[in-house]
Amino acid sequence: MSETVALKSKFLDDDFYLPLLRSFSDDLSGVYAKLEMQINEEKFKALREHCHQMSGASSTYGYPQLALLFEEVETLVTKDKHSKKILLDYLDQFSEMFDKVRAGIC
Amino acid sequence: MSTYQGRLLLVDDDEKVCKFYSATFAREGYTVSTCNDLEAMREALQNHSYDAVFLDLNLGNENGLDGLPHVLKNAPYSQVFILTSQNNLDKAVECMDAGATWYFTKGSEPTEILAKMNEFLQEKKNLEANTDIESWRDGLVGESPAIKETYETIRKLKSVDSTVLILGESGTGKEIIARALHQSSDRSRGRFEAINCGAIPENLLESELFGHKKGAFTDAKADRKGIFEICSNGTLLLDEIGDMPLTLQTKLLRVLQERQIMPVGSTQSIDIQTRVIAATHRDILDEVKSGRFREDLYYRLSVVVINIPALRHRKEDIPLLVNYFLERFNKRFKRNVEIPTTATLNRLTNYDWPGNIRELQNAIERGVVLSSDNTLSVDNMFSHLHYSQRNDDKEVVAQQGNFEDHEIFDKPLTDAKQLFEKTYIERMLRICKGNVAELARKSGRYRADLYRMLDRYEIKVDEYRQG
Repeated sequence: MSETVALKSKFLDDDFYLPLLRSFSDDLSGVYAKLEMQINEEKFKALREHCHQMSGASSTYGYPQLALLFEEVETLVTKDKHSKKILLDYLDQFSEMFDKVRAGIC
Repeated sequence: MSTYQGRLLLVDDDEKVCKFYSATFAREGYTVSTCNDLEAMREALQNHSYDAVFLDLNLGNENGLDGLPHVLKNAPYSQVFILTSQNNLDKAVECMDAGATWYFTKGSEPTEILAKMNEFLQEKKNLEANTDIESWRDGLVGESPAIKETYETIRKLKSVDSTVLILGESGTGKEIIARALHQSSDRSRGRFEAINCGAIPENLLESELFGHKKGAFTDAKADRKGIFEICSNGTLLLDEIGDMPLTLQTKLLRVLQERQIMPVGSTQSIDIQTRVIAATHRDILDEVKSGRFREDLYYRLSVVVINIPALRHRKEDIPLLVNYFLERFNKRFKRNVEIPTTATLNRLTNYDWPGNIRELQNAIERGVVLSSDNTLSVDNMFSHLHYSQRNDDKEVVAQQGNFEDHEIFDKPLTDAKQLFEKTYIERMLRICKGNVAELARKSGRYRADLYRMLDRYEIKVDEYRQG
């Protein structure tokens, strides 16, 4: 079984930010659950707003790749180019990315 | 701990983002407050003055940019920085055209944001410190004998540190006078802070004023300096001092006498050199007489008293004020509205302006914004009055009471004033359909102030909502 590649925040080297990064990483399970619910229940407006918010938060916490993934979903939903299947694929990508973030903190 | 740099307000609907920037700015010595929507922002701006406001553009269902005019108008001494995830040049230009100081994206390095913000704040401080000796007159408009007397008092107080009590109706410009006193004094390089004693709950006000130690109460997660200590070499405006709870009045008196504060939860006093200016729209002697305000504190605060005249008592200043606001709003809205005709000016001068300069300012802003032919129209400027006139049907008039026929004129002044206040609130509540926020806007009073009046006169807001 291959090890998860870590995704490291650009602030990881500054001890001051470590508690904040931990808190961000701890919140990701809740973020995933919310995304999953919004996709399954087709709450696209809420999904778009959530992705916009998370894109900003990810940039702020030094995870540009994660921000980009959220932005992609936000754009898809805004332009009405989404299908449930595409969004579920993205959900898998989020799951992987979140694991990488967690691995980066440990 | 870094030395105190200033006070910032973060407006962002995402708690994670608020948490990150609060920590980042606090590490550099800033005191940071956060809020998640525009309503909370408006309330925060009412309670404190901020060196800078960081505004997110996407606030859930709200557009953050809609809050910008409110900040520019009500907190003209704050710099506004946009902090958004929208990396869009057109948007940045739009925001800066609308009056924002700078535009940051959320991926920016915090060090860059801090450096740029410090640059702008320093630039502003240098500008204030280096302008000519009468620069404190910025925002003070008028040549009437009454206002000239105020200028003269400010000049006389230039090199003294006396406590000043500013009295004046709502909208007369008490904070502008307080800033002028600070700006013209030897303390102008120190900080100026303002706090609204009537809008902050009693339990928080003590900690805001005097600070607290970590663990002093449930939310005290770290030591925090109070506003007295923050501007120890500067000036503190205690706005709406007449609304300060009696228990805190006692503590304030001790601070003024001993020049020492005691943070909540601490056993050690801290020496302070803060100059205090107090202001109120209330009849403070009446408050003293009724026992709501300590007499000894009144004497301590009223070393020098500045009475700002109501606009109706200095009508000769109205043309100057109209030109001043016209120039400002033409610049802000990129319009070219011409100076009013003599007939229009007569209408403006004949009106009594119960909301004082604030009401006049709003009228001119409305006149500029709604003008379709570059002229100031009386209809546009007075449209806020038309609204109430439309509601002046017989029923309302009957309910509101006709003062001509009323026994109001046979009453002692204090009772007559209270009767008028009660009737005014009832009438306005009817017009605003029980919406206290709208009532606050229309009456030019703080909500906390209104709630206190509602309580005092036993007026039930719900009854107005049902109608």
